[in-house]
Formats: sequence, C-alpha cells, structure tokens
Amino acid sequence: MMEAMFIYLATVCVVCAVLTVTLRQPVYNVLSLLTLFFHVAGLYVLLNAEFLAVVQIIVYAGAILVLYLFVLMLLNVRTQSRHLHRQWPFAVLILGAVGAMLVGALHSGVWGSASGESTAAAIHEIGDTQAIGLRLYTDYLLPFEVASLVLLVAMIGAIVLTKKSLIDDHIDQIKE
Amino acid sequence: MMTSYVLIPLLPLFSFIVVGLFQKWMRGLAHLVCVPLVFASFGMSLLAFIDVMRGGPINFDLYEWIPVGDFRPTFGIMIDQLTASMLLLVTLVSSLVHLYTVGYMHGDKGYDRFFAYISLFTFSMLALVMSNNFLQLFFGWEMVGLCSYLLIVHWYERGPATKASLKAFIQNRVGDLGFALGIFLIWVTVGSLDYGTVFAAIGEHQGETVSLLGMDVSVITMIALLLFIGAVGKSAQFLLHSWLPDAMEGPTPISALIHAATMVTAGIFMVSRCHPIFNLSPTAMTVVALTGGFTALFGATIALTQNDIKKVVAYSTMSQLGYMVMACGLGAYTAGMFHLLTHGVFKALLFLAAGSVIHALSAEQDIRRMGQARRYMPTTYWTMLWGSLALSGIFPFAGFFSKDEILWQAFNAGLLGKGLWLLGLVVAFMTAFYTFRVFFMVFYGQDNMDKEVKHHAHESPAVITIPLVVLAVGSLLVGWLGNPLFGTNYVHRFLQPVFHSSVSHVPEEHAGSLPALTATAFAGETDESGAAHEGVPMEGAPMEGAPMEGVPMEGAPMEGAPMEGAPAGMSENAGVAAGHAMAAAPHAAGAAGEHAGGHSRGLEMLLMALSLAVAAAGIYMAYLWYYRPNPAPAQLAATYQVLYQGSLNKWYWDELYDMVFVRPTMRLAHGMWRVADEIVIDKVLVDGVAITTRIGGEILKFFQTGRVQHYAMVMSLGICVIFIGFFLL
Amino acid sequence: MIPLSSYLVLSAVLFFIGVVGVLMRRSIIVVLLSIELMLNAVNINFVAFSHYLESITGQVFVFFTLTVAAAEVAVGLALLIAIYRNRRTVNVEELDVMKW
Repeated sequence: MMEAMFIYLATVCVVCAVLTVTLRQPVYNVLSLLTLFFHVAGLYVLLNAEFLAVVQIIVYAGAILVLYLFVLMLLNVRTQSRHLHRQWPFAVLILGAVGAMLVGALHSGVWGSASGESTAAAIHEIGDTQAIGLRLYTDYLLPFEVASLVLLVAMIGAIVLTKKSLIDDHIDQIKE
Repeated sequence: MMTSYVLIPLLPLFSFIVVGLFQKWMRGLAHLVCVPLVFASFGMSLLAFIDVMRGGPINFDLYEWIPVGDFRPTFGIMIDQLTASMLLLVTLVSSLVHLYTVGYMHGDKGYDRFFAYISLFTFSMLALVMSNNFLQLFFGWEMVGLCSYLLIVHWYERGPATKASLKAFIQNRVGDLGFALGIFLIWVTVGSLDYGTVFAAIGEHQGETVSLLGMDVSVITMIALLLFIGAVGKSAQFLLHSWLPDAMEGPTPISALIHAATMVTAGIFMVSRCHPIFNLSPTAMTVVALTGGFTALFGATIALTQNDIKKVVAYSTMSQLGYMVMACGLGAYTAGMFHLLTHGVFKALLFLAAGSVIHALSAEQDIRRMGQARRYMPTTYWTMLWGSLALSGIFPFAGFFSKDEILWQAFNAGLLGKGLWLLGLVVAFMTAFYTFRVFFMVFYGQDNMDKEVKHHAHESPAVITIPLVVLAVGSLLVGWLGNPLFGTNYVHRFLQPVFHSSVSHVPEEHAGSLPALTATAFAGETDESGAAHEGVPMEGAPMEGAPMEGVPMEGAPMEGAPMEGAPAGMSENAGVAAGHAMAAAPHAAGAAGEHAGGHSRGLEMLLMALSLAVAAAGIYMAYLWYYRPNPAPAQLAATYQVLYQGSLNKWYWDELYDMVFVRPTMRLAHGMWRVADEIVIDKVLVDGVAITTRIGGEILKFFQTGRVQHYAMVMSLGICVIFIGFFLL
Repeated sequence: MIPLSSYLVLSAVLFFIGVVGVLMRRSIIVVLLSIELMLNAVNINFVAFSHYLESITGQVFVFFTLTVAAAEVAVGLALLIAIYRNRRTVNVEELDVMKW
C-alpha cells in the first residue's frame, strides 16, 4: 500500500517537475508546480510529518504560488518566441557534471544510522506538531527569531522595491 | 544593612546619570538633584563610620567583574578604619563643595555639566577608597583622573584651561602606567589582586627578585616603587608635580575638592593602604621619604614668590602632600593620614575662601591687585584667617597637631628622619611665611584694587559662606582628635587596627623585652597573644637604628617603627582581615603609649614649642613685610636675583619638560604626520588600495557577462569541483 | 517499507530538474519556480532523513527552509515587478547590467 502510494506520488512529482521547467506558458508552469507541491505534501504524510504536510500546502500552495499567479496576472507576460537560454550548450555540459555529482553522492551512501532520539512511536505519542514545537522553541529559539527578522526584512524589501517612487512619478509626468 | 553601604558611592553616581542624561532640561537646577544626594551619601558615610568604630571592618564582594580563567576580579566594598576616615573626608568636603558651587558657579553656562562631573568625581573617589582589591582601586584611580581632566577643562573655551587639563591628564598617565605595572607585578607575583590575599601573601615573596635591565631587583621593592610612581603622579610629587599648579585653571570648587582635599591625597591613601608591601622594602621607603621631603621643600620655595592667589595655595598643597608622603616613607602612616584629614579640611577651606575672594573681586586672581579686602568680606576674612593659621601650624588649629605629629615621627626615625625633620622645620617656616604673605596682601596691605572691581566688591552669598564657616570650625576642631598632649590620641586609636605593627600585638610585659619587631601575626592564624608567643623572629629583625637616643622604641606611637627596622617585622597581614583583632588592640596601644609617655613627653613638648616658634617667626616676617607696604621684599629679590627668578619660574621645570619631552614629541608627531600619515598611509595604503582595486576591476571586467544564469552555471560547476575534490580526492 | 534511498533518488531527480530549469530557461519566472522546486527537493531530503534517522531536527530545518523560500519569493517577485516595470521584459538574457 505504502509502496504504491510512494510510486504514485513520486511519479507525479517527477512529471510535474519536468512540466514546470519545460512548459511555455508561465501559468502552466505555475500550475504544474502547484500540483507538485501537493504531492510533496503527500510524501510528507508518508514520512509521518503531518504538520509539515499541512504547512507545505498552506505556505507553498496557498501563499507562494498564489503570489506567483497574482504577479503573472498583473504583468500579463507575453509568451516568448525562444525559450532556451543562449548558453544552453554549455549548460548541458555542466548539467552532466551536476548529474554525475548527484549520482556519485547517492552511490557513496554514507547516511548515518537511526539516532532513536525521536522515533516514530515517540512522535506519535505527543504528536508531530508538539514535537517540532518543543524542538523549535527550545534548541532553535534564536534561529527562529532570526528567521522572523529575515521575513520582516523581506517584507520591507518587497514593499520598497515595488512601490513606485516619487521620482518615477516625476519622470512619468515629464514624459507625458 | 552592611550591603546598603554600597549606596554611598552609588548615590553620587545616580545624580551623575540623572543630571548627565537630562542636562539639557536642567537649566541650572542640577543642584536640586546633586546636593541632597551627596548629603545623603555623607550621612551614610557617618553611619558607616560609626559602624566601623563599633564593629570593625566591613568587607564584602558584590559580584565578579571580568572572570577570565584564574583572573577573577570582583567589585567589592571594604570599609575599614582607613576607608571610613577617607569616606568622611571625601563626602564632607564634597557636600560642602557642592553647596558652595551653587553660589560660585551660579549663572555659568556649564552649570549642570559641572554638577554632573563633580558627582561623577565623588562616585569615583568613593569607589577608589572603598575598593577591596587593586583592580577596583585602579578603576577609581583612573576615573578620578578622568574627572579631574573634565573639570579642569570646564571652561574649555579658554586656552590655558585646555592646556592645563591635557597636562594634568598626560602627567597622570605617566604615573598611572607605573601604577598599572605595579598591579601587574602584584598579579604575577602573588596571583591575586584582593587586598587581604595580597597583603597576607606578600611576605612570602621576600628575597625573590625580578630581572630589570639585567639587574636583579627585589620583587617587593619593584612593586612598591611602581606603585609609588602612581602615587607620585596622582599626588603631584616631585618630577610629576607640574600639573597641579596648572590645574588651578579649573573652577575654584574643583581646586578645593579635587586638587586639595581628595584626589591628590589618593596617592597617600594608596601608599598607606599598601603599607604591608612598602614596609617590606627599606629601599622603597627611603625613596618615598626622600621624594616626599624634597617635594615639601620644593613646593614651599616656589610658593614663596607666586603672585596668583590660587597658585600659592596649589604649591602649598604640593608641599603639604610632600609632608604626608614623607610621613608614609618614614612608616608613620597614621601621622600621614592624620595630616591628610586635617589638610583636607583646612586646604579645602583655604581654596574655597580664595574662591570667595576671587568671586567677590570679579575674577581677579593676582594678589598684587588686591588689598584691604577685609572691609568688604568679613566672613571670608575670618574663615581665611583660620585656614591660614591651620596651614601655618599654629596652636590650637588642626594643622598644628598633624604637622607636629609628622615632625615628631620624623625626629624619631633615625638619621634620615632627623634630616627630614630639619627640612620639615624649614618648610614649616616657609609655609607660615607664604600663607600669611597672601593673607596680608589680600586683606591688609595697600589697596591696589581697580576702581571698577572695588565698586563691585561684596561679601559672598550664604551658600558660599556657610561651607566656609563649617570648614573653619572643622579646621579648629579636627586637630584635637589627634592631640598628643592631653588624653587619648583618637586618630591613633582609631587607625590602629589598620596600621598595627607587631609592636601593638605584643602585650605590655613583652613589649619591653622583645626586640620590638619580632612578632609576626598572619591574618587569621592566631589571636594576638598567640601570635606574640609564636612569633618567629625573622632574619635581620633587630636592625640598626631601632631605638633612638633616649627614646625607647615602643615609646614611639604605634606604627612609628623606624623604617630601617621595618622590613622583617612588619610582614604581617593588613589590618583588613584582622578585624577580630582590633577589639584588643587599643588596650595594648594605650598601654604602650602610657608606658612610653614619661620618657618622651618632655622632648615632644620641646619640639612642639620649637615648631610653633618657627611658624610664628614665619608669620611675623610676613607681617613685617606685607602688613604695610615695605620695600624689603623687593630689595631682597633684587639682591638674590637668581633665587628669586628661579622660584618665580618654578625652578624652570616646565621649560625643562617642554624641551626634553614636549618639543621632541611634537616634532616626532609632526614628522609622523608628514611621512607616516600623509605618504605611507594616505598615499600608499589608502590610495594604493583604491587604485589597485580599480585597475583590477577594469581588468576583471572582461571576464564578466553580467548575466545571472551565467553566474549560476559557473557556481554549479564550482560546486561539482568542490564535491569531487572533497569526496574523490 | 520504502527504503530511504528511494526518497533520496526522488529528491536528487527533482533537484536536477530544478537545476536544468535555472540554467536553461530564459524566463525569469521559470527560473524562480525552478528554485522553488530545488528547495522542495531539499525539503524532501530533510524530512526523509528526519524520519529514518529518527530525529525531529530535520523537520525543524524544513521550517527554516520554508521561511527562506517565502522571503526569497517576496523579494524575487518584487524584483521581477520592478524589472518588468522598467524594462518591459522578463527575459533574463537581456538583463546584463550587473556587469556595470
């Protein structure tokens, strides 16, 4: 059963990923990535990370991709005649190297062993959410706060970047 | 209750913070914060004093300051008898000066800033005296130096004030370097900076040496001398003295508080505090005594001819500090401290009175342009008279008792002491003369005031005269505490536990038989009788010069061990830890004093009469020459032109320093600016880096495409290379 | 029971596809999407290891990755809008002013 689920999810993920980078209409790209995110959430469930699965859907699917869609609608980007970057022949070479590296890494197969500090049973007992919360607000409190700061900076940055400045308005007026 | 004494320094600190932060909004109301708080601090000091008198020393650590490995300095409070008396002096003078400042600095545009800094100074000084370890002492030491600088430069728009402040700061830095090195050496030698630990352990290091320029020097002598360099700087002793007179460029309350009563006495306080170290080194003691004696003479000779009222008082301060240092150098710490206390009171009085005169005469400081001032300012006249009498050492004012005490101790301290005693007598004569020279020229003599000035001459307001009156009464009374003639010498009895030597530990019957300096009582080891019996005679304890002609050793007041004999015997603990011992100590002291009284009282009386006569002679001479206009001084000056010019120009030390230190430094700095700064740093380094970067950029530009994905591609390649390098090689 | 290696292979494949997108496409939108894809591949890795090594820390890290992704998207899209406003294009190829 689990294996079947995994095969299904993995297959859809790979297909969606391929579609994401190959399709020509930006909206299609976004939608295929959306599908992929849902299926990654499914993988999380398989891995007993229910909380992250939900967060994945809320944040990635609900927030991030919707943002993409908004921007697409806002800009009304034209479909381009050429999709591949000029540098693609070199890129293929380097991709070969990257692929080889990944295969090499998978082959090396040194992954450590189970630590047993929070087994599936232990997590099941208190629940995934609480387990993460405990760890997050004790050992990782400072990084957590820093992360919130990062978000704040990003938020301010986004506003500053997208706001039409007064100078721009002035230039527009002159143009008119 | 004990810990609440931490408030004594913290209250002034608090007023500094409040006034310092909200200076802009104070608008001349800073005294509403500062004055009550410093008076509260004075009240707390009184309580602490009483506590110490009843219960012995208070000593506790507040917290660990900068723990680094074995080095764990603490902030602590120690109030022993020595500290308690300093506390009273500092907070009393500080309170009165605060009050005085309200009147004196009224309307000054830096009024609030001034209050902030004197509060900070009070805090620093209190932190200095209340410290229980060397690092905190150093902290206070540096802080008072800083405050002194800030306050001298109060009128920063005046050129001389800025120069004087820099001079004070830099000369103090020289001393502080020595002081810091001394502390380092203590740390290296003993491995602790805590007073109790250091003083208890320092005796074990006798005979150890350090190599200095290829010579082996006794480590204790080295420590003592380095510490003393700090005292030389802070207490304006000879060679680092020239900042003190110049510091008079600051407002007068500062001269009274910092440059007469408190900060400059820090050196004497420190030497007294470290007496267990100094006692172990005869060499260092000799140096201390000689420096002090010479400074006393040196300051007095200059003071004879100065014409600026504050300069005269400043040189007299230097001279009196020399007295105190001399006393310390002779091992007469109690006498030194006693003079410190009385001097603090009457010298503050003299400065404040001089300030009152200056204030009344529209900032006129030249005594040649004063005269007949008593008509305008009776209160100032009387208080100044009392202060002058006290400084001259006239019975029954404070200076008489304390100065006489020092001279008496000197007289009893061997050949060197005899010489210094003679020198002290000469200085006493000069002191009386120049003090009353100023006094007569200001309040009597010819009326040389400008019309304009005279028109405005007036008695100072009550906030100024009240501190004067308080200090005048103080300078009359405080000396009686240490009166050797009638009843008990309270100063001795009070300070006894701090400076108690082995003598005081020995019960009466032993006192006569034992070589005075054999018993050693390490802190906490035994009670005193035990110590007396178990006392290990140390090598070389009975030394030449121990008993003097006709004066049995134990007859000398308690700590008056002659310095040649000091090293071995005095290696016991500081009185700090021996608080439990103090209950019994006065007994022994009193008994010993009684015992000795019969032999020496006659001699002591004789010497007293002699010094009194000398002082009176000085005053009489001043009276003859300056009470009414008299051509004698001018003629004398013309006859001994060299001496007169030398004294007037401070024996040319400023010029010498200018030539030896200041000018070469300036020239070096100028050279460094032209060569090192402008060429090496600006041209080669700064511009060079800029040019290299720009050229490098121009070249490397051709390797850049400016396209993000190109960069991403190269980055991927880089990761692959790193991966391969990391895993496969 | 699914072996850990299956997840790792899947994650590697997704990551590789992401790199392909970043390096070969012209559209800045697809580049950004590919970056999201790569981040997800990494997240799968984290969660898989977290599960198999029985340590919750891996999941905590996914949390931080999420944060970074969100920040990246916000700034990235803001830049996209700014660029589009000024240059009327989303073509990365044409954006070579970084050189200057």
